[in-house]
Amino acid sequence: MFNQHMIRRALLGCALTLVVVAGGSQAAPASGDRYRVTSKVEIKDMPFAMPPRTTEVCTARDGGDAAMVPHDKDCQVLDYRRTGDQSSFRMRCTGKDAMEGDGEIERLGADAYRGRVHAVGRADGETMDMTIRFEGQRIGSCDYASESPAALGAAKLKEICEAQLDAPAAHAMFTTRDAACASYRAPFCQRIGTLAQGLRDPARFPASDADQVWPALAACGHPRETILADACAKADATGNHAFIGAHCPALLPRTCERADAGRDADFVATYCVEKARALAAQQCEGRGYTAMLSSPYRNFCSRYAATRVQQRNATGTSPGATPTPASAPGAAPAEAARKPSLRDRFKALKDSIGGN
Amino acid sequence: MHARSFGRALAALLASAALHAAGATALPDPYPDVARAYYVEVDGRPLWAGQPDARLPMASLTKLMTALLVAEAGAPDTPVATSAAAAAETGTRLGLRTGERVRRGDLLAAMLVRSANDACRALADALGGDEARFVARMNARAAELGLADSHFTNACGHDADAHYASARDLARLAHAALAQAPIAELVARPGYAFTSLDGRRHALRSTNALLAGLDGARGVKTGSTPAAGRCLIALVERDGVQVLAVLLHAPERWWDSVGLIELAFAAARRGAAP
Repeated sequence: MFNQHMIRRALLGCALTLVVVAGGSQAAPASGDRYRVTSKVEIKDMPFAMPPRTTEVCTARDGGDAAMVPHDKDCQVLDYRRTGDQSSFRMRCTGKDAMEGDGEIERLGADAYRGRVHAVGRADGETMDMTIRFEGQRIGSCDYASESPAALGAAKLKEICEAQLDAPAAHAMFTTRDAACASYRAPFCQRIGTLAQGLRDPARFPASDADQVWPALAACGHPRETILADACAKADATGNHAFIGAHCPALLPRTCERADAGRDADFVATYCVEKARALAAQQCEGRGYTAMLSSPYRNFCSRYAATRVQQRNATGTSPGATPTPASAPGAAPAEAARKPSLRDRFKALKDSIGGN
Repeated sequence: MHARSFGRALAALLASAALHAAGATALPDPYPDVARAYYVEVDGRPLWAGQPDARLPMASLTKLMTALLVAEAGAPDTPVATSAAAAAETGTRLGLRTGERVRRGDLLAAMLVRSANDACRALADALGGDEARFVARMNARAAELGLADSHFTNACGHDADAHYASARDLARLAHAALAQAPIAELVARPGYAFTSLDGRRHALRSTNALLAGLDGARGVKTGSTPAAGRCLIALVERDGVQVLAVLLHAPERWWDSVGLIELAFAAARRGAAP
């Protein structure tokens, strides 16, 4: 089927012809002629007709034919010949969806022309045969330096590049080989450098979903490892355990050793597996929730309860294996239920009566 | 039938159908062993559920419906005389005496904070004329709320064959109840004290252990009977995020609800919650 790329190329071909025509116009340095151009693309076997398209183009008044023809890096206009009011040329596009064709242009007095381009190429393994018919009418003068397609394109590119300077996600536009905004690489990377400096502070470190930031940083010479090393050192110095848990595995053993489960329940329960297991066995298991209310390990045991629910369900332990009511988080699934305390037996008795 | 009542009934019917359609979407059930049925929401949006539409006995979670009707009736200063049936209630109770007069608002508090069956029955008898008529109103209100998997045969949650609710319905009921300011305020109280109009002082401690132990706990209701097992509806709010958990027949009601709630907050922090 005809793809967007080929149609775009067809339209480009059309634009090329317009400028070819303009190239033959009368000269007047640093000035141009404005043409209103209507073109229609017909593609063989296409099930629908594309509507005519009208644009205004500023063309150079003084350009030689060949020099005046702008073309994208994959297309060339070859064998441009002019005889009286008639011109002809060939066009060859290489790369993806290569195509080849020829064209002719007829001048209709000083201010008008019409023409045709016929090109054949292959898209997705199928032949594409297209014809572009066009006609142009001069409607006035223009400043070629600022209004030519090339100048307008450059201005648009400048606008796009400047708009993306603060967007790390757009790093490929600035940093890859042959990037459209390669000339803006320095200001882009300067901004990324500022961002990198900020990220060395754990408080400003991006959330895990900031995947776009890291490729941009790497592309500008700030690898994640370097930034992370600085941020982890700062987190270590300031006791930012949450950050260490999430980003600094090398610091975990030492930090876990020092962490107080009473004060830093989240960190210990989440990241210090061995310590949490031992502490849970000591402080949580076998205790009823209400008996924990005055314990300094209440928060830790609450966090550990989540771990236990996860573990129990991950291992597929059946509900029947759950210990009796007063059992606590952290109990190993295979462990036999502890003997109910007097308090638990009292609670069970209350349950049998009902009410709360 | 009164035109307004007919309108409400029709709306209820439509709501019920819509809610059933919505309920048809299966939710993840990552923690099937925490309860015979459970349902967890984050900021009102369902997150996890196990058997959310199973009809199960719900013990004193029933009292949320009773409380809803009482709160909707207003007039909290209205004196209520304790009926003989109320004074004879079993299970958790205040120890009200037949004829003892108590403000309606204080009975509501005793029913929600302490899950007192005598306070609950006194309210049902006073508002309905008798329990049977009050229960009919409970079922009508349940229909209005679209609680298609709920049915009441008594006001306070005693086990009975046709007395049941689903975890999903109970979450919906909890939202309706919490929309009543007096209920939202009372279920969050760790304790409540009042003096009856006959001069007897009553001091109550909440049955909801999470209020004293879990950061951000906002109530809602506990329940426990032999058939229902241990039940809980818990609301917890942290940093503007609300988690609502309903557990029916949860052997480790407190620890597992705490674990489930912590996991739900963790999911919300990760952005994994809907």
